[in-house]
Amino acid sequence: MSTEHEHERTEQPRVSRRGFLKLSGAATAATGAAVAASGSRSAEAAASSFADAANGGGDAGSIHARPWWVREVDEPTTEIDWASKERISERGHTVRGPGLAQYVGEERAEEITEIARENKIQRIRDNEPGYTLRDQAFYDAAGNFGFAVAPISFLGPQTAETPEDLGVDPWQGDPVENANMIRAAARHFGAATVGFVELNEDTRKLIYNEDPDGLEVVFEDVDEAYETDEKRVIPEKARWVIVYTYQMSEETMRIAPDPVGAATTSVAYSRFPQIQNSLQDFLRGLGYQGLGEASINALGIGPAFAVLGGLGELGRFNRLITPEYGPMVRVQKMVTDLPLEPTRPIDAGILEFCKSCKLCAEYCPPDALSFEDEPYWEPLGGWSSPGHKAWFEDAPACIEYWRTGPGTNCGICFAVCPYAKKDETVLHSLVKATASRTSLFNGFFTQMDELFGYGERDTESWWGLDLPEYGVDTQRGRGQQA
Amino acid sequence: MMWLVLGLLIGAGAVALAQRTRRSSTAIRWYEWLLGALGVIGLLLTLEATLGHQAENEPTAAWMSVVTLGLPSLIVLLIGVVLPWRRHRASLRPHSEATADDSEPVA
Repeated sequence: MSTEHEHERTEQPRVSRRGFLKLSGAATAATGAAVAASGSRSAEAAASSFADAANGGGDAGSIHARPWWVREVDEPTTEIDWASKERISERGHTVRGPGLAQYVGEERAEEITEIARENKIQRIRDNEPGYTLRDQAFYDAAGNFGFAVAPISFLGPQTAETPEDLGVDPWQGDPVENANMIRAAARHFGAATVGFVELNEDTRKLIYNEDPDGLEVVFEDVDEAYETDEKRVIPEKARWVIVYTYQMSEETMRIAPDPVGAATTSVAYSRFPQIQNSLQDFLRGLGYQGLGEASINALGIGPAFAVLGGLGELGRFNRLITPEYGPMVRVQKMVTDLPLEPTRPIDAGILEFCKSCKLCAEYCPPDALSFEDEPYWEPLGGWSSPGHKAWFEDAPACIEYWRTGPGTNCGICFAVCPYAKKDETVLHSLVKATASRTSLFNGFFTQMDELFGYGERDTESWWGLDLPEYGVDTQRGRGQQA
Repeated sequence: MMWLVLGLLIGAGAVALAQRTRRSSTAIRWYEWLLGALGVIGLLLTLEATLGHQAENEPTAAWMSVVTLGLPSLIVLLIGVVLPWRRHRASLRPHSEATADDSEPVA
């Protein structure tokens, strides 16, 4: 045997010094080219996107081209006990509207609203940095939501001609084709990522039983959806939910909780009416129904549908964290009777990362977020839907801080999240890819996040930034396929 | 485009260095090539991270990239350069103390 090996060794071509040096030069050049490819949208990725488009817009049941380190899984990383899950009321249970009074009392609820207004006026008079008239005016303007010019509703604008109006047959496509079509349309209307969830006996529990305006949301065996003064009716045959995100400005949110920072939430919401109304009319034009949110946070629990549909994972601050944009998204949903291929949940190591990170909890001024290592089953109060494991937050404390503190919708937990980084450098992708496979370095990554100074910045410097339209990069999240 | 030009320049530089070494009596050992390559890759990564962080409007992170990535890469590169350079200088001295092994070519 040894003789054979020796013979093999002598038969192997020797690399001459000259050859070795040439190879070294070529390897170095190749390294430069590789760095070039990773630093920009690679030609390969672009070619792959083109091929996807030519094939009808992507793989069956996939959301869109995801970063290569995102794994689709059968069950979401958030554990769910469907047997103990129940439908809740957005109006009565959550703290966004009049529900707050039942947790802090009527008197205190009115008091903190008054405090917010007094603080606002005093800060303007004092010319307090971050809270000047300019900053407050910007925040208020962003808060118009655009709804004044484009109202939203459960049934939609109903302006598009239906196939029946035109005397033609409704659109007929298989669920995969339909999903790809809706995804393409929604993204063009302004959505970032789009997923689909089938409404069954379990997932129906994520539809509110009462909307923020007090109208009941019920399922009936009818052909057409309708609404009265008491209720909104979803037909039994409308068995699919379109859930989608759209971006917020990471650079703007970084100023949270100052008014300008918090304004990115409002600016994002102002794009929502266009997406929903257009999508509803698109479905109507195809001969189907699109049942939307009659107001912000209506119809169903956005993050829950987003987790089931694979748009992201539930993070420590009990909100959606996506692989592409971190938490810098708003989430909306729409029920439809157009058959859609459901998208699968994902595991990108995000929930696992949250177990050791805790930055959001550390930076939360009213200590409303949990420091527990593991998520838990028991909500802290009636404002959260039970039946899943999460780091449930103290929502009344959060809202009370919003109003008595900065007088805005805060957003510090979003701003300090390590996933709230852009992907302009390959380092971020390397970190997220590593975290998706092992939790070994998660503590180190959190420390580096702080060391690198991704801290908050002041409002004054924000006014000098050269940001893109709406403060978001719409190229982000594209061309990241394997 | 910047990366393409950089890649071509670095490749050309490496080939030129290899040819010069071939004509010289001082060989560059395999680990010195490795250190040099690691240093160059590290510096390229530093440049990418610095420009990327600037594009993200993160000036502090950009400087931290220079400190945490750039400095170690530069040190590694310098070690890869200084070792053969010192050997080369030693070989030029009239009564060189260099050993035979020092000037032995790499196979």
